[in-house]
Amino acid sequence: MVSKDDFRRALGEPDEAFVSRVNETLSSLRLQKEGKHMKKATRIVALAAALLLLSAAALAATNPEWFGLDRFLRYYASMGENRLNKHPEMIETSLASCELTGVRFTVNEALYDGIGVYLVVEAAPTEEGVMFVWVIDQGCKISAAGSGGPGLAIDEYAKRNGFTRVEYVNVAPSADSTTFDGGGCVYENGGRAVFLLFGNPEGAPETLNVTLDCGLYSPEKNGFVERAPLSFPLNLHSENNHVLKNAQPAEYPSVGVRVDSVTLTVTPVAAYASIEYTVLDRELMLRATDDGLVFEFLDENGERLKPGSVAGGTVEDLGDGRYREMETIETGDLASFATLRMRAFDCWNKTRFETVEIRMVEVDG
Amino acid sequence: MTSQEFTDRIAALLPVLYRVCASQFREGCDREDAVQEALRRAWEKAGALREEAYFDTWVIRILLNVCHSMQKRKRRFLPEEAMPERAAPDRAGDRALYDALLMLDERLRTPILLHYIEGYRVEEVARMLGTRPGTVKTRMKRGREKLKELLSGEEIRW
Repeated sequence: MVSKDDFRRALGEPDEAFVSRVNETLSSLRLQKEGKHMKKATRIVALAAALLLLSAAALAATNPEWFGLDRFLRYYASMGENRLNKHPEMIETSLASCELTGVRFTVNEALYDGIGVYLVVEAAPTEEGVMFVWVIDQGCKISAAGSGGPGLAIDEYAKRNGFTRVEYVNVAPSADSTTFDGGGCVYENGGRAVFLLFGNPEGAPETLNVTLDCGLYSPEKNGFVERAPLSFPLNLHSENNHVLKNAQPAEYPSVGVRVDSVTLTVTPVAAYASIEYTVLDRELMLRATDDGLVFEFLDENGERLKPGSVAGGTVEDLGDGRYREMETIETGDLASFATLRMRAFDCWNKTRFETVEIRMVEVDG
Repeated sequence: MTSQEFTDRIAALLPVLYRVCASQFREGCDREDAVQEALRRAWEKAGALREEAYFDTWVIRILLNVCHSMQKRKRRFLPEEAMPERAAPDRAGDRALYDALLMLDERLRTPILLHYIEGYRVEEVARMLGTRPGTVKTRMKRGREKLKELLSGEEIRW
């Protein structure tokens, strides 16, 4: 006779490789959290002619393209269009820089529209033959933008592209910052690593004082060997913002929830939605959505609207059964937001519930 | 949930995560890839988990979804003639039992793993699998019968 314990034994206990992978993954995620970065899926090389076999001489001969905010926002997975090309004055450039051994960090572009803040920070080598890699990307593969290929290990990519050395760098918000909660990295020709950081600052100060922590990391020493702060003020550009609010609450009886307020701040970057709701029937909400309740926005055909400049939403517990969900959608003409179609769904099973049309009215920001 | 709490909860769940992966993949590298992707997704979504008591079921559900996606990709790209011979499992254990378990249809195997081997309640298993408790019970019954058949009629004490 066999028993369930025999089956458990047959499946085994975690082996060393599995445990190592879990530990490495958790360490990497915590390192990101410490640096207030979210892990980003794709590491891409942002080269105009993105062939892996380009020689170092060819790369050096090209003028490096300024990988600016507009391109980075559009590259950043599943984003809708923005209107920054109509408002170039919103993007501040060449704000600050600092140097560590062999590397210069420069804040190339930054934008703060009152809801979101977006930075592009470049780590450029001051010596020949060095390629910078984000410390999070240790062990990852690099492929050319649009190649769809499996990519090369970092050392192999560096070797094929004429780099003699790989160094690991990091750019993160300072430890006491609560502004930034996401980011990514792109690799440019010339061995540069370009970081995007984004977040939602609290309140909407006229001037946002930003401090970043720039670091040079040593895998051999398993730690940062040099660090330096990078501080600069960022001015608010809200002159093109419009704020709309819901004209009445919205009920979602299938999930036991009432949406009390929807505030939509439309900027040239994105339309930011703040959805505050009350759970009227907790048991129903949990049973219906398995605690995976989120809201999404639809067009007149019932298709989901494209996300705005920051993908994904956050949910905050306000207490007493009330929650606030933050979402972004693609920006657009104000008239297109006169009515919002908002649907409740279960993010685990993808079960969709009712869609409610919510009339929106412009208010003073 | 803080980073430390997340890490601690995952550490406590590690043997279960391993056995879920082992029930889905024979190859160690696939198991490691699956758990890495699942942890990444769970970490990103941890802020949206309002009932921390559901953490285990929630993480396991994410892991199962990742495993299913990986299985689909493997089926799409691996020509039949390239299918490897059944490999010896790269861990200690009873090979015949492991093989029998993996010969079960995944829909029958996973409820048995989660309920009998890992000890989750039927309601919890239903939540992990996104199905109803009645369906879980039916699948477990069929799975038990099939396993007995595969083990040449040997009785199994559940």
